[in-house]
Amino acid sequence: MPNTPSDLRYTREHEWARLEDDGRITIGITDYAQDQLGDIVYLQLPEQGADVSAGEPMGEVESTKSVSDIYSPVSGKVAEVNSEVVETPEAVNQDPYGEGWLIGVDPSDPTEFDGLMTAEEYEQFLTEEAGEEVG
Amino acid sequence: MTLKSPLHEEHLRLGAKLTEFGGWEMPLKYSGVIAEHRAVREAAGLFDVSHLGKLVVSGEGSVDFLDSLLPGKVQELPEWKAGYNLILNPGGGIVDDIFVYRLPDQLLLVPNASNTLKVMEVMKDAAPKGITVEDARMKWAILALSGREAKEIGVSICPEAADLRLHSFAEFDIAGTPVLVARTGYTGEFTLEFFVPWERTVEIWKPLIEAGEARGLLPTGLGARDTLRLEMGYPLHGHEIDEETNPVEAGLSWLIRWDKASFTGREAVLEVRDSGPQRKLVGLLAEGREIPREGYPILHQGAKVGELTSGNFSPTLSKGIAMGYVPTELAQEGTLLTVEVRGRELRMKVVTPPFIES
Repeated sequence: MPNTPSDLRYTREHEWARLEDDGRITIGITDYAQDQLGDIVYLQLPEQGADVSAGEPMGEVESTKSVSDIYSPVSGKVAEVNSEVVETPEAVNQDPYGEGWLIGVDPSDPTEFDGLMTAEEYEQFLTEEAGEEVG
Repeated sequence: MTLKSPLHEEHLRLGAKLTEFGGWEMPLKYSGVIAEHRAVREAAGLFDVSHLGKLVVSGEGSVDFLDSLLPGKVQELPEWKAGYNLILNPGGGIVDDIFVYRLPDQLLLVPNASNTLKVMEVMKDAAPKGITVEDARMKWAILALSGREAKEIGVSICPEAADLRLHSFAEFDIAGTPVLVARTGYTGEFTLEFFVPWERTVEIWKPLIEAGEARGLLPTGLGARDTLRLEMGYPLHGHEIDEETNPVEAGLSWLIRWDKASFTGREAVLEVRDSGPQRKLVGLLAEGREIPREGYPILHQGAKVGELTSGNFSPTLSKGIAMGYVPTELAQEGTLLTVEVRGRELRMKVVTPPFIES
């Protein structure tokens, strides 16, 4: 069973979002997603200052198997990009909720975060999706 | 219906992720494609390639028959030697690429899994009376033990294998099981391929896994097999080569015995050889990690000049590598081309494979 920390919110496209104390939202892809993708070798992420929109592609993740879009869980401005994960994309496989975070966004509509799935809802969603693959 | 290897249960036990390939359900990966790839380059990997086709051609004159059908060496192949060969259609297109193993009284052909029945059909149609073509797919399983440590590991269960030279093979008794052991492979590293009687496969697989443990051996899947062959620039049927490509443009002229009086497709490939191919298969190397993939357009000065036939991440180089056909005038080593990666332009340089030092 993939790891789905209870303090995060999730999307149907297998991204996670964490609300930080300062209101910023950190975004990454889930443990389930990294496992389905296999060895991640390349990440295409938005630049700092770029605008992202909820539900729209904001980047790409490539594994030895396939390429998939990464969708932004929320709308806002990209405040931080994890440059280390771009250099060592395997961090997403090893630590998807920690070292493998992708970007930090200053949200334009904080209510979007509340509309994302809880861990419990996401686990339920995974059970229903069982057998299907990402990408 | 998908066919299963005799090692199916072993793969599940080892946590393999399975994939459908050429009608078979086979391991895609166990621990991970990159770890498995590195194990083969740095230590050893053990592949179950039992899905590979096996056809046995026998009967009086079977050597002459195959020699007159296939473009490469058959007659010159001594007993207990194997040779890489092709089977062409009359238009010179590649029906399949195969390995031919010459036994004293028969020939064993190893085609690609997905082409086996097609190849058998072509053979049967062409075979004169007295020559039989037998579907031996489930007579042997094939285990490919590959990597720097492969020799030591192989020899630990089969000491006689130490003396096998490249493309030689022999029948050895391994703990009471008669096994054909061949020095053929598809990774660019030292490889021993074990043709094991189907129902005895576990008895050879397990000791190899155990003997390899201390030497860094990993069970390896088809994912790593693909990145390993791509780093070597080996063509894969259905990708670099198919019935629409001819051996000259695919860079396989070296295996054609041009002096043979006949082989299927001879006129057509002679014509391409003499007029020169319009396009050539090349290797393409990216500067960074972005992955060029099969089907992506190859551009030159903004115009599409070809398509990638394979592409992936090279675990050895940590760069994107690919193969594809380009017009002959752009096939020169060092030519800079652009590959369109989902709307972005990726600069790639024409190189002559292998992509890695071997």
